[in-house]
Amino acid sequence: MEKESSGKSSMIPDHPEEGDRKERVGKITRNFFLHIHATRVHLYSMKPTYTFGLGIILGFLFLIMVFTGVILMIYYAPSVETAYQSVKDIVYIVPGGRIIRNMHRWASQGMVIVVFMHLLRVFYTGSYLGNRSLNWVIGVVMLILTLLSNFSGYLLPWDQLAYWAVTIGSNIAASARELTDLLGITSVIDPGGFLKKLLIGGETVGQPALSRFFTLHVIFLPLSMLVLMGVHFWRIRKDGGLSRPLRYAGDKGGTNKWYAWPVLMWTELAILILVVTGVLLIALLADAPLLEKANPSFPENPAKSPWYFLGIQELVSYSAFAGGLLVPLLYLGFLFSIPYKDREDKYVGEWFSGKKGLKLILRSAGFALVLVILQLFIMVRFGGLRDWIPGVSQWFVLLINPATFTALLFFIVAEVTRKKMKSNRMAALVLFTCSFVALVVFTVVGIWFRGPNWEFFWSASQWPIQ
Amino acid sequence: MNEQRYTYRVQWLVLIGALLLFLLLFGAWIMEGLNKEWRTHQKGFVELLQVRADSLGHTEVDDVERGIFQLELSHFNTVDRCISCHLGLEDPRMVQAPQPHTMHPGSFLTDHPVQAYGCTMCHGGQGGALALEDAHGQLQETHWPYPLLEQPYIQASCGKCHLTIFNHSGPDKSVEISGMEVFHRGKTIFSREGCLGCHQARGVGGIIGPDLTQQGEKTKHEYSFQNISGDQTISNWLKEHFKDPEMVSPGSQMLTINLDEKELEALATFVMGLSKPDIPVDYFSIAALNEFKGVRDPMEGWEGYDYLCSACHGKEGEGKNYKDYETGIPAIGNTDFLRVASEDYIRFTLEKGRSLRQMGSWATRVSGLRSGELNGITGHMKGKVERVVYEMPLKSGENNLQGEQLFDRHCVTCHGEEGDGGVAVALNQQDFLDRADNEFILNTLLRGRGNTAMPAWSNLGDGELGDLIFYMRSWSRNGSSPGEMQLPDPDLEDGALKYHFLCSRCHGEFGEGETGPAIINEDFLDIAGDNYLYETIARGREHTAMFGWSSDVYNQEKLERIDIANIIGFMRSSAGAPLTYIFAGSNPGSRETGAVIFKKHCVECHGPSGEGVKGPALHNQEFLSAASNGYLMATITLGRSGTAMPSWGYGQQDYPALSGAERQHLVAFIRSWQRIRIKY
Repeated sequence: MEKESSGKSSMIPDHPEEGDRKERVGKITRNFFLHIHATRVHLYSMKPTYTFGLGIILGFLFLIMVFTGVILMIYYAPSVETAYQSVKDIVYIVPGGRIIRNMHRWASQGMVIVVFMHLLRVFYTGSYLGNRSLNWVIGVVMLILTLLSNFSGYLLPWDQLAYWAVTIGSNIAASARELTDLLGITSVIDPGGFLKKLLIGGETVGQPALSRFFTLHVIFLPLSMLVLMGVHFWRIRKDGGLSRPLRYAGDKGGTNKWYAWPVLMWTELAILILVVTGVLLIALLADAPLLEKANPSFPENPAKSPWYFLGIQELVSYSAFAGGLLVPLLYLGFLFSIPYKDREDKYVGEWFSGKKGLKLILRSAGFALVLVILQLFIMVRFGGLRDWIPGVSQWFVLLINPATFTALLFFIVAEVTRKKMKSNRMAALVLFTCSFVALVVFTVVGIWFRGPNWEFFWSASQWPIQ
Repeated sequence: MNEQRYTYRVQWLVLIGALLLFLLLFGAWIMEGLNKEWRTHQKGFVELLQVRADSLGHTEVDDVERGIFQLELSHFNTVDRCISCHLGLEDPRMVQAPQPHTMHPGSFLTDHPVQAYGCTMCHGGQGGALALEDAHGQLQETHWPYPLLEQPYIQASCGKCHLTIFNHSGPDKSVEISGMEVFHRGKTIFSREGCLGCHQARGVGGIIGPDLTQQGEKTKHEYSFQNISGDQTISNWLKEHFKDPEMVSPGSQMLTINLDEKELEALATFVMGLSKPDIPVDYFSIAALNEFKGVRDPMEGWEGYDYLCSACHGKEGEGKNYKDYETGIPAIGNTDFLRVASEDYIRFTLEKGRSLRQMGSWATRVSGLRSGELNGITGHMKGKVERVVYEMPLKSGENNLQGEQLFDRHCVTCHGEEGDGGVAVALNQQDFLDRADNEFILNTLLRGRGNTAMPAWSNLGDGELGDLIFYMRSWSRNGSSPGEMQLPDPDLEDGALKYHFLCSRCHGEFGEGETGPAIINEDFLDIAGDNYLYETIARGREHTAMFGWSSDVYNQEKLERIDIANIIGFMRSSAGAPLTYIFAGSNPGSRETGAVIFKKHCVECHGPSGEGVKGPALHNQEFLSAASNGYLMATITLGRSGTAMPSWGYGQQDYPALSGAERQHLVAFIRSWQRIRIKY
């Protein structure tokens, strides 16, 4: 490494002396809160364009959530009679309440977006390879927990938006009923109903749902997240730090490493400040929505679940079981299985696994885009099976719809890739990209192009006034 | 990249980020802490005081405390911070000042001290907020439950404690409170339009519409504004609702009422003040507290009719016909109806309602009306308060031709040519004419005989009645000699037994009439003197089945004076006692023949099985239990002028006159629909 006389930070020598070394190591190892860090970090891990710091950003967002959440808990009253008014009090009467609530809301949306970006980063850099299989699984579990935390918090203001979003969500949870109804066994075995009852404590959203969601949101899910975060970080240590390409795999000891103190600490501080500043800025500029108080007699039309579930809701509009249970479970199954099917360690640490991989990814993305949009076009323009063959058996609708068709086609394409390129990693790239792009397109459609009665509209201004 | 340069860059990032964060936090702090409306207002207040002091030549200004002031009203479960901006609330120096410094107008604060009542209890708004828009809560997109109330709707808040709907007398007559004019106007409209006919308020009223007792406490969230295009406020919703209920609440059966803008405002103000807030009892007026308990002044008959019946049945009892209102509402003020309907019929209908129809039961446990009030409504409808025995001087021996014409026109159809009798008793029977004096006949004509087919002929003038009676007298050979009689004290038990064994076969077990006329009938016994009864029982009526019980006729018991006195005593006491059923009475028609006649003439309006198409349903069990055969006969015979029911006794254009026998067959057929006998 070259020596530079830049003036600032001259306190940090390039080659620290022995005493300095001990001190810098000690600063990390002798500190309870800091000793989860390694004492030395690899250069590659510090590259901003490698990880983009997404994991750390997630961690800090979580911290913001907990901090603002505890403050909100002081004023929030989790009962259907008082919840809405207490949120109104927070926003309009408690000094600074509006800002804290906004921070809580926007940081939570940020968390969902960043958690998906983190998923993409980890996947495309092949950072689940090697010994890191378990960590990937823990990560996916935390993704689910993040979505659940957001969903459970969504209900708490008890306004029209919250109430109907959770009603829809709980009905998606009961998707299995479509299958059991077709089989005629619902009165005997009703897993859909069981799941729904587990979630909201009844057939409709009411006080039991609120109590349940509140407890989940403030105790169970944060604690579970904390525990899993701990395991997640610990596993990184055990796996030798953040992933890096094979050519650096052999770097032992101090080769290509910096001492964590103070470089890593400064970096983390910078990210913390930037995240907090970003969230605060958005919180000052934009207000979290609060509609009228929840009223079970006046359903919203369209009633939409939170935006990250709208992709699933779009699929559910084709078939409850296929879109709500089958395809999402298949997707989750796929995610969990990735590190156990793909063992090609040579691809670790490389974005997109080289030029070959990048080409494949772009092609898959294009393919998925075209396929999904085409299916949507057909569905919107010409209708679905029900319109072509009136009186068609529900079995056909369940088995043949854009959700199942897309899933099947992607699987076939991935298999073909595997056979042709004789590589599980390439197949994984194809399937992952295709399914992610499809998810994004369906979500986008669900957010912006679906109006009352779930009909297709080019813009919200065209919605009929109910 | 070396460690130093990297750290360098990161440290710059930290610096810039921290600077930005600090700026944002500082800005947020300024926004939240310093740039506050209430500080501006407090400064303005002090400036006003300064200006005033200057103009008066004073140099010193009183020290005004700054800060956030609040009234903690734990009994209302609110905290009101209005006084942080409205500093001049109780300051007489601020009478002319602009808002928010102006002094509270009127003398309201003398009776409603701010420390005990706060501000939001009367004005609405969010007491805890310190910014104008949030405190007043009038912005519709922020969905505040209790926005600030402007005049006149603020008068609704007075109603929370001061409203009494039924208690008019007493020390705190809410009528006298000033400042509540619009509210009281609304209360008058509420009573006048008969809203309690469908809605209940404070325990009284109908059950078709929702209970309104606490309607004023509903927040905006409990109303649906889907079909309201104007202001999304409660007052506007109510006004739109009154104008067109079905548009605002689809599926509503509420009738439209026609009010002008001012009246709509008043009514909305009243409805917004219908409440029973959860506040300590010493805030309510005594009259209101009594009303909550159910202690209230009894309503008079006309009040009962106006408040409860007029909405459906019309202010004059004109009802609604089938063209205007799908199921039709009977015209209960119709003269022909009231002539024929006995008080029992009306009272029974009030008590039981009519199943499968909109007319519900108004019994006490349903409607909150007391028995006396129901009697009052009945009396109001019948147009009399108590049973009156008419006495009238009559013209002497006049115009028999007029009398004959009247008799032919009105009476022949039941009483036969020259009073020979038909479906009704023979009036030219000598024994009858001997014993009945003119007063008896007059009162029979004017009052009718409840539950029999004899209607009240209150539509005939004095002259006409006189002529009629004298015409009837012209049949008499002997002239009347009624006389008086003094009877010994009756033994009611013996009378009951004797009546049962001797009289009930012909006159009905309960005196409702079988082959003989109805004799245990209040209208009859009120006007029939003891002499009339005694003579009739003792000596009978020649050429009829009524033989004299004092004389020797084969195989039957001879009655002594005391026996007859017992029977008369029993009859009188029985007529005064409350009925168990409304007995249908006799009717010698044939059901099968009646079916044929019904099919020919009645089906078009009343439906093939009496279910009611353009006319009322006749197979209704409550109706059949309320209506005696006499009522049915009289209605068919007379018709109902002003409605589509023609007179089948006299005949009309397009409708033939039916003979007495045909009408009896009809009555039998209609009676055959009765499946159950409902107790009175």
